[in-house]
Amino acid sequence: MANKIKIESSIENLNPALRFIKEFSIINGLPENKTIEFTTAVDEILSNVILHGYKEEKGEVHIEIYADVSKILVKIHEYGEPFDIEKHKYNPEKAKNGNFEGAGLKIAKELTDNFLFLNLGNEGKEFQLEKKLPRKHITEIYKPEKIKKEEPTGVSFQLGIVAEDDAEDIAKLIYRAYGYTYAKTELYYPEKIKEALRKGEKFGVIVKTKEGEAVGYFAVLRSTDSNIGEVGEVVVSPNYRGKGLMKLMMNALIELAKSKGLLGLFGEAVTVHTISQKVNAKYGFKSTALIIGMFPYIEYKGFKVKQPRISVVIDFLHLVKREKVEVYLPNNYKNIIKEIYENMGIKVINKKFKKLQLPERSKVETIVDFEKKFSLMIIRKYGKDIFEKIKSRYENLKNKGIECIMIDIPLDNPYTKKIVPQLNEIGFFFSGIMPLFHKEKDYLRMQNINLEFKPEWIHVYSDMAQKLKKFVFKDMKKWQKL
Amino acid sequence: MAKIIKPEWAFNSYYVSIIKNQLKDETEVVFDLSDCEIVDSEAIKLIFQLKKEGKRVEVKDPPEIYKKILKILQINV
Repeated sequence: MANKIKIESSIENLNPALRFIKEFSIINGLPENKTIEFTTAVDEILSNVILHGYKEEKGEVHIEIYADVSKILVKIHEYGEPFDIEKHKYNPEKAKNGNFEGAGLKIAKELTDNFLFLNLGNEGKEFQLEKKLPRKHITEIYKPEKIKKEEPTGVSFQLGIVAEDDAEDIAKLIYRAYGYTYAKTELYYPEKIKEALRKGEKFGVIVKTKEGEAVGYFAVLRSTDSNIGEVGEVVVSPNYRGKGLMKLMMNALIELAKSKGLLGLFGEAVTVHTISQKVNAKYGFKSTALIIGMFPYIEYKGFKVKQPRISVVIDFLHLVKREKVEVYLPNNYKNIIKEIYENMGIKVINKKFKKLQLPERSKVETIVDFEKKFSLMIIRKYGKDIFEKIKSRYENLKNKGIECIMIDIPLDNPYTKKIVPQLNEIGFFFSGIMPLFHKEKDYLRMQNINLEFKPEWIHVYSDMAQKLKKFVFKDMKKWQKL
Repeated sequence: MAKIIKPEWAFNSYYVSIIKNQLKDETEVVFDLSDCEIVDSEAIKLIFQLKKEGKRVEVKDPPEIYKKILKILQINV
């Protein structure tokens, strides 16, 4: 959960806000020297916003600070005058003559691991500053040869709920099973696993031999925006595959998720092969979306077709029965959306469009993963400026080198019928449905990707996923602007 | 006699806004940064400007971040 502070754009408020950023960073594990760097970077941006954002007037500055197991992120949002970051480039030669223009931005960029500026038109400006939390990789704790030699030999197993003390065993298990190729790289860092378990960001089951050696692990990552979770981390020790461990763990995990009151589980199954999709289908998960090129390419053992990025199928399992949904379906996607719902056993009522009085300002949240080069915009509230806002953010993100740009659109709002054709015009195409994904509500996902993909690279298993693939490729061909 | 300036915690825009006017008539300024953790570009700019005006400026016990910022900005004040 993000912590939010709202301050008046007055220079007296600078240091109290900075002290909070500093304390928050230290509490969340950022070392002292990195904390100073990060606080200085925030100081530069916040000073700039306070001193120049509103010129002579006073205005509000919104600060959000958030930490997960990998990073600390600060978002600074103000509603002042437009600003073109490109026109404020620092020049050391000019500085020697006393012109320090752009110095603050230069320092903020250099002292953070990721820096993003979003020009939001009449919604002001947003800066995102990110600092990575240093953690030790399992191979820095133990020599790789030693981990590999530790392959367990026991013959009988027992299943238990994952505890913080299991963190190191899990990291070793991942390393033994996948070498360096596991996509969720945080699992190579015992401290990150421990922290996520401690904070309740994930829960899971672990299978150990009688001798206490970990041979299987399966976890759910809780969504921070809805009461659902992702079956996102799974590993079985190479010598223990084909012994029914997956079945044992999946059944236990579903029961555990139910007992914690989760409404649903989802999987992001890669399409380089269909193994994970088959497992999901076996346990009642239904395919609801196909996202083209969501993750950067990594090589999967035995699957060597090089492609620009990895695509995923979203498989969803409702843990609480839903009989019907009443949604506003955009015309060009209504049939496929109905099919997706019906495949989940849910009756769909497509509500008629009704005229809306939109407020002036819309609210769109933007989440960016710089390392994986994807971003997700979530429409939180429609306003008159919605299209312009999305368009300007899309252009900003594209210019920052973000390759896969996704947008989640609420299906319970009539305006969704209007916005979809507009998004098509700037290259967004259909991905599918994200059930209960934000605040326990269903969203339509669309995406934009400026890379070429071939259907033969994408392997899907379920009938619904086959239909999705056909539809997505047709829609991508129609709207994609390469 | 040199005017001694000793910012607490942060020598930044806020602190610069407080002291800037006090330094107008000084010919010699010592910035004692021994209690400082944060230094920002506004502080560097102030030091630079004071020197440019011909004042004698000394920076005592600067924190690591001070040197780092000068390196980033590729200047020497």
